[in-house]
Amino acid sequence: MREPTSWRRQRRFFRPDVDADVDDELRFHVEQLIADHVARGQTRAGAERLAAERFGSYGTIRRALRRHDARRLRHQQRAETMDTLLQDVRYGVRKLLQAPGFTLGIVLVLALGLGANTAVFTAADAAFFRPLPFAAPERLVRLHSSMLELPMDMSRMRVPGRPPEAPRKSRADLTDLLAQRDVFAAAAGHATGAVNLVGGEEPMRVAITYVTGGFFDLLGRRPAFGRAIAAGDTAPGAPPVAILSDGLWQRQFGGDRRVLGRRVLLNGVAHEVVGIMPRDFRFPSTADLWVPIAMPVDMRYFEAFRNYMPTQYVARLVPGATVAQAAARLDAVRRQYTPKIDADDPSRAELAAPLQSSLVGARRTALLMLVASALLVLLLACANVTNLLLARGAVREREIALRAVLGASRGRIVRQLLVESLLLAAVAGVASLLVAWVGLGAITKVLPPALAGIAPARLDARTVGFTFAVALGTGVLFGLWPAFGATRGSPGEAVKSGTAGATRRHRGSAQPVIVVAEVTLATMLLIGAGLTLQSLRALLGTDAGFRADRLATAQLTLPSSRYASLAARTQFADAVIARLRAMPGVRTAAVTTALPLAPEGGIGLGVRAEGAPEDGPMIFPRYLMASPGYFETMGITILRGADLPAVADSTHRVAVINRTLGDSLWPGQDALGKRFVFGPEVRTVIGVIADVRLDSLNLRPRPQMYLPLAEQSQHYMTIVARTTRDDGAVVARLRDAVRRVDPQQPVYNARMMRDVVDASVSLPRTNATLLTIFGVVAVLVASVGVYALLAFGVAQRTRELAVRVALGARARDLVGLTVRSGLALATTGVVVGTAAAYGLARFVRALLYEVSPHDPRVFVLAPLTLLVVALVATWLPARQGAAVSPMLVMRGE
Amino acid sequence: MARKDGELLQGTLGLVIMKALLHDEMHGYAIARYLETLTDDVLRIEEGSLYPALRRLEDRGWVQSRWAISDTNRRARFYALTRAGRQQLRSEATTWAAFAKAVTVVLRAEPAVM
Repeated sequence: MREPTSWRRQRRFFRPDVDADVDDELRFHVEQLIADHVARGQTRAGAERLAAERFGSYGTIRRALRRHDARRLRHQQRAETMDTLLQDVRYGVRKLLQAPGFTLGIVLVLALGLGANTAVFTAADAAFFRPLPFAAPERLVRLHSSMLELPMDMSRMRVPGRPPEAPRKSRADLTDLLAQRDVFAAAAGHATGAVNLVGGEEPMRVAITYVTGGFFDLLGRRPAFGRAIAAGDTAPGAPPVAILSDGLWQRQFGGDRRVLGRRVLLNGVAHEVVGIMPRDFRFPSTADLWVPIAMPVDMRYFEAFRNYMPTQYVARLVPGATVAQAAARLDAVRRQYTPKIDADDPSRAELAAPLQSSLVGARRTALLMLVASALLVLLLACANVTNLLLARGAVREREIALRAVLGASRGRIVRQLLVESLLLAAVAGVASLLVAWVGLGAITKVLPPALAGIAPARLDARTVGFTFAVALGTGVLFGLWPAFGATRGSPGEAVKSGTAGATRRHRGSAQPVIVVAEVTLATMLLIGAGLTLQSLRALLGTDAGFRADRLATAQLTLPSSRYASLAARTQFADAVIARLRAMPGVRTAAVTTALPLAPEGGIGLGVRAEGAPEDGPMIFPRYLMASPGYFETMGITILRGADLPAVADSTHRVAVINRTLGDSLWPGQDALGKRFVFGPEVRTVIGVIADVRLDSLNLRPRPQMYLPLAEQSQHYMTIVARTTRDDGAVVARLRDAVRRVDPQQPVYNARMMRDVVDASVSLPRTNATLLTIFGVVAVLVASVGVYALLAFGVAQRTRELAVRVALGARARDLVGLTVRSGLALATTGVVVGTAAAYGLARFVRALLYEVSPHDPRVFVLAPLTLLVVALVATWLPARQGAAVSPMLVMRGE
Repeated sequence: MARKDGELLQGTLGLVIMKALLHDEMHGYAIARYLETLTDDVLRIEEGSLYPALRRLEDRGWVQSRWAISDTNRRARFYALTRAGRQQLRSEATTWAAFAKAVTVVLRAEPAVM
């Protein structure tokens, strides 16, 4: 039988046409039947009738056959696809292994970009997107704390020299809020302070959160063991109870369930441990344990705090109520007490905010900037990989063309190249998980707790899935374009022409654009990094008003059970100072109430100059107590007058003030010797010191006032000692000194002052570090891109360069060629990048300290650096280009 | 087992088709005609059974098909026995012979009906 050459065979070459085949077969059969009948003497019509009879239900048979054949075809195609896929994968793996440096480079670049993104997104996810671990968290709101207070039991409060105050409610308090049942389903207050804990493995200082009765119910969380707050706990006179956090339970009680029912001492007061919260419950994020308090609040709870009880309020909205309604209601409540709202007070809109966003708050900008940078780096990585693949596509032209000529369809080749890209992406995806894991560990260790979110950020199934999705997405993205590009044009030409790319000038236009884009992105990132670095430098270079080197600090709180009297406390402080001064290695020592730059609450009472009108404006300085020698120990300059006295003279009250307070009270005059009114007393200024940044390095110093420690020695003390050496071992001396005076007294936060300073700038430092890393990575990736483009360009133009050499060009000219084109690319990218950064810089003004977002130094240095790096990246290809020898090239043809 | 009107059970239909293809490849109509002619019209295969049977044999890999031009110059699907099919034919034929012999023995046993 001869092979048919009909056109139907051609058509069927593309795809078997099942239906037509079945029809053909059956029709043939029928025709034969008819022919046979006719041959035996039937008429044509008769034969057809007989055939139809004979054949029976033609339609049914045809359908059955079609179905069967279609199914068989599908199976075959599926098997084929699996086969070819496997083939593609094997081929791809072989090809990738043939160019190990190239493969490794791509995997590395991708893994870095992907890993950085995953790490940053996971941290952002925990902070922003993951819902809070509470019941119906979308109905939880944070209420502005300055507009509310807890009802206080004023019966025991006495101000010396004044008759006891009649209780008079001047502001809205929590009970008012609880009465608004149509908006607030529940409300609770919480205040975090610190107490001494005795009863665990060792006496230690813990963060205690006092909560009102409805706290845990409002959040909808139950303890892991034991119980939460019962109604009886908040009745007046109820026995004190405490609920431990999982962290404290593990650290101090070894995770032993038998701690339930035991009693522990908090500042000397016995509390029964009734419950332990689950591990993922960390609200507030610093709380070690929770203690319910009754309302009105007894003054004894104040022991845990400095000057006031910094209470925050959360409320749960009734279903259907909005945050705006909550704010409006709170506004109405506060107006009942103060109809006139000050300019300083929060506006109505600020009164209520959803809990989730209020927890992240001001850190949002910083986190968003990180996310944006990570995205840019990923984009950069993808652009680079695309470029590298494009270039490699040019090199593999021959191979691809050969395959096309041998019969592979374009779709098949594209699919195979795509498989290669996906392989790269998959491997990079796995590698990026490692990068992300390391990166996440670094981020969470370095980020301040507020930024890390109240749920721990960790890699879980969601993030892993996300990483792979992004990896595969980028694989398709950067794979498609080069794949299509590599299969364009006619294959025969490429095989014939012998050189790759001599006729493909048009495809080269995409690669330079990508490289320029890479340089642009890298410039922007570098400028961003430069700005934050400058800001950090400015911050750290600020004169804080004291000398932070060789200064050891420690804190302690004297329990009122053992140090009830002022004399006892003063004696303790004097004894510690005396012991410290006697120690070798300690120059001077002193005791105060708070350290500069350590975040402690504290507001002052108002002061006014003596003789100033009583209802005139009051100034609210920060006030601290200090022993004599404090200023010398801290290295604070005494501008005028003398140090604080050692003993307090009740007839002649004194104070040392800072320059800002002096200028505010008596502008233009010498403050020394002047008198001012503070509370019920009049004090004389006996010294003026230089300004100290108490709150934070980037905030201007406010009015400050120092009183003699002996006057009102508090329970909480901070010991400072100027030492001869700067290592951390000297802090042991402080513990020693305290232990010798009172062995039962726990000491905490023993550290060098410079650690305190560093901790206060942890957020800007984190920003700067991360952005610098991103910037450096971006510069590296971009320079690799420049190098690759030029290197492949040189490889492609070998013939052309050889011709130039033959025509008399010198090595210098060839180098110049390459360098010029590289420089053109880099310059374009840098210019565009600088312009873009200039335009966008103002959005990050909030993150910068004393640095203009258009700081000229950064805007000159960063682009220059990039240009230099790009120049270096052009060096190697330029040398290669210069080394082209015409003889070799001709022979290679 | 052959029935009066020439219908065959599935298994035996496949058997005779494969036998038909033992000598040469044929298209579906030729197979049917061959069997009719050989058995003097005793075995008359319905088209509705023939083609599905051929498909089944193809699925099992005992028969393969290809398109070619018949001697009447028309495009037709030709079926041929594969090597596996040849082996299958031999083994099935042996089984069938044993089976037929056994049935004959039973029918001839007292009281004999044939």
